[in-house]
Amino acid sequence: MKKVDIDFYKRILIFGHKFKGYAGLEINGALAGMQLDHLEQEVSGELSVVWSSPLVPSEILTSFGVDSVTPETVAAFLASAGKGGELLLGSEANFHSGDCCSFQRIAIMALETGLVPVPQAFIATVPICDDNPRMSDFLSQKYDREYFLLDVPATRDQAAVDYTVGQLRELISFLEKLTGQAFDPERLTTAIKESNRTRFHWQKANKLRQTEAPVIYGVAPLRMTGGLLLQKLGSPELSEAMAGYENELSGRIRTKEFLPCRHRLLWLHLFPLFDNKFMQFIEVELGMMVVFEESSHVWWEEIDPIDPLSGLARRILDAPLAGTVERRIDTVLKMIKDYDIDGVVNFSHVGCKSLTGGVLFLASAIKKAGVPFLELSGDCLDNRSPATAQWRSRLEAFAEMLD
Amino acid sequence: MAEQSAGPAAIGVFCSYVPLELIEATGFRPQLITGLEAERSDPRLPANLCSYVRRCATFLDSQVAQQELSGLIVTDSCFPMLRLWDNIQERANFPFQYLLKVPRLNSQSAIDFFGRELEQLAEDLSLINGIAFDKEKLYSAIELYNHFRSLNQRLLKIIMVGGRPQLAARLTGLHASASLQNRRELNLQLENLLAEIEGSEPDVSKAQRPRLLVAGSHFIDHKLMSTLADLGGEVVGVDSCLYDRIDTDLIKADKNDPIPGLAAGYLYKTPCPRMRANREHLFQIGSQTDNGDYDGIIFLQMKSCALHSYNLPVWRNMMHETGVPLLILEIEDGEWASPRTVTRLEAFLESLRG
Ligand code: SF4
Ligand code: SF4
Repeated sequence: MKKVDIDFYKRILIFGHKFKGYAGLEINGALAGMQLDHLEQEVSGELSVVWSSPLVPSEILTSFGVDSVTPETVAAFLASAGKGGELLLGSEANFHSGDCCSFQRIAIMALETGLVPVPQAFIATVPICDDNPRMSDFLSQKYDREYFLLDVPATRDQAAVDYTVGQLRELISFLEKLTGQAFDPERLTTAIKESNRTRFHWQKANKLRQTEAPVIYGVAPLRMTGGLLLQKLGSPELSEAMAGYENELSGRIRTKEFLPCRHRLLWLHLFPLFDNKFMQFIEVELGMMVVFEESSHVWWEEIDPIDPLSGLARRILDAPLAGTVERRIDTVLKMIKDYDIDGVVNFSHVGCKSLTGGVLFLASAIKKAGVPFLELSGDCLDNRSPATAQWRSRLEAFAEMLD
Repeated sequence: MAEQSAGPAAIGVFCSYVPLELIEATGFRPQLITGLEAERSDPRLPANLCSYVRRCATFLDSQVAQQELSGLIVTDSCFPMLRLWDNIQERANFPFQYLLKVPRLNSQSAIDFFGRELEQLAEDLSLINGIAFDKEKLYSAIELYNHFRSLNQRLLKIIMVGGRPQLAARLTGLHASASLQNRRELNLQLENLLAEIEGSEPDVSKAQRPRLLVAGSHFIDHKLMSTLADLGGEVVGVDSCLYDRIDTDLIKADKNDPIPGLAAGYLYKTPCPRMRANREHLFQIGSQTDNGDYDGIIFLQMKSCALHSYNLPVWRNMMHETGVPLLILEIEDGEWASPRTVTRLEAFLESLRG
């Protein structure tokens, strides 16, 4: 392992904080800024950080003053700066199989090469893939850190809820040991209230996107949702940023800043993060606006701040990407209706056995509903041999087909 | 119910965490689906799902499966397995289709949860067979399988000593046929094998062969074991998913209420990489290697299997530290005996002999 030198990673976050890109939304900058602050605090020893998977309830971690970072976010930032291919090459030299998802391989290499500090511990949930828990287990051994696996069954019945609640209690004990602090239910209540506030503004912002013509480019929420948001649920900075997002949207609707829209797209799963022009090509050049994306969907109910564990357990179990494919299908079909979708694009990230494995069934349900569906496949982080030209021509053909 | 030529109807299983005793006790016959029943992988499923899952999908679509199997039990062992379940839900129509939730921990709460899962499974299986679930029958089935485990353990000890190069192939061959036969018959065959070899001396002239551990992410074809012996090696250890992980301890169950013991037994068996406890198992293999138990290790990695892939650097590191050579063979679509595989095995054994 090389000496930690966070300069490169810091520069990516500073760039993300300052430059809004063609979408020009404040929240993207705010989120990168938040990452940057936390990174600096981590390096100075003021903040303790764990790596967690996207469905780990970060509110519990926040209540212990622990910050959670998803390794997928680290990989995404590095790939968007064009570092994916180089790190993946290094991972091959370190005998990491190409069968492991590139998000995890890049995250492993980010630690190996000292681009980011080694976290205090690793916490993973079973859903939404096998890769994150396996990587966490591997890294915890390699760096001699604690590892906690939050075991979650693939169903949503009461037995699954009870078992998961038990797991969350175990997580609390784990954090007590890790931090040397006793659990303070009041701090958890505070974090849950913040998380509910985030959820409230997020849902309202999503509702605002159901307008006839879009007021934002979909690339902005595509860049911020998923792990980047989920890992900070419970933090006041996030609820503030989300309130700002809602305001920005309603402001644009008030002033009628509608964007030209040839077709309304629903975007599923990921997009090529290394190609900063890719989404611009779709939205600006082809005029196919991503009016909603799967990763923005708020699937959980408000959580009871006084008795939060069963609500948190349900949030994990109910995630549309967890468990069997039918709940993902139902969710996507509802999004198609709610956002008046003309066509659906699914970017199948090759390393993702869990989600691409279900695309066949998803595609057939969408087509059955009479909505055109396009699947693009590739590695969304690896800039070495991208199929971007081929993706672009397929998108052009898709746009024509929708006309 | 599917047509059966003779004996109880078969329930297909895909993972070693399904307690076969429960299937037996409810009047069915467990049939392990190895993936080798199908000629090729299902081309409709994405290539990044392991070929085991894609081959199983092909098999389940076939007439043979429809005739042979009365039901299926799929586990949430890994996400590709869940996708197999999705596939079954979408396309298959077996009289009994069940998703069994298996925890990845072996804590008391995990055992309790799994115990309740097994109770439900026992009830559902009994219901479809039109019988009441009988705990005594389950207890007898556990005894039958415990006998199987202890016979295996004795055989594995003999295999570990060395000097019987084809024995591992014979044992795994019997295991492979276990999917098609009754456990009592299998036990009988294992007893016969034991009697045969206990009555003969190991061939010490053959004890100079490189001692191999064959580990793998799935089903290890006995033909491969045989090839290794033919090439001058001797398999002295097997560590793979689809045999019952046969070095596993016996199940300690209470006669009046056997399910909790059964649940604990399965969650405590030699852990595969889906389990939190897998790292301890790897340490154990590491220390066996350190003790000089193996001269070389062959790891068969099922292409696209994330669960096992994360262990590859660990295996490499362990072997680097112990100085024991490791061959990683990536297997896809039944390449067990392909000329390419044989050439690589030959070269590996050559290098071990120095
Ligand atoms: S892309 Fe899929 S496999 Fe990769 S980290 Fe995300 S969910 Fe896991
Ligand atoms: S080979 Fe791996 S991915 Fe395939 S079913 Fe087995 S554990 Fe799952």
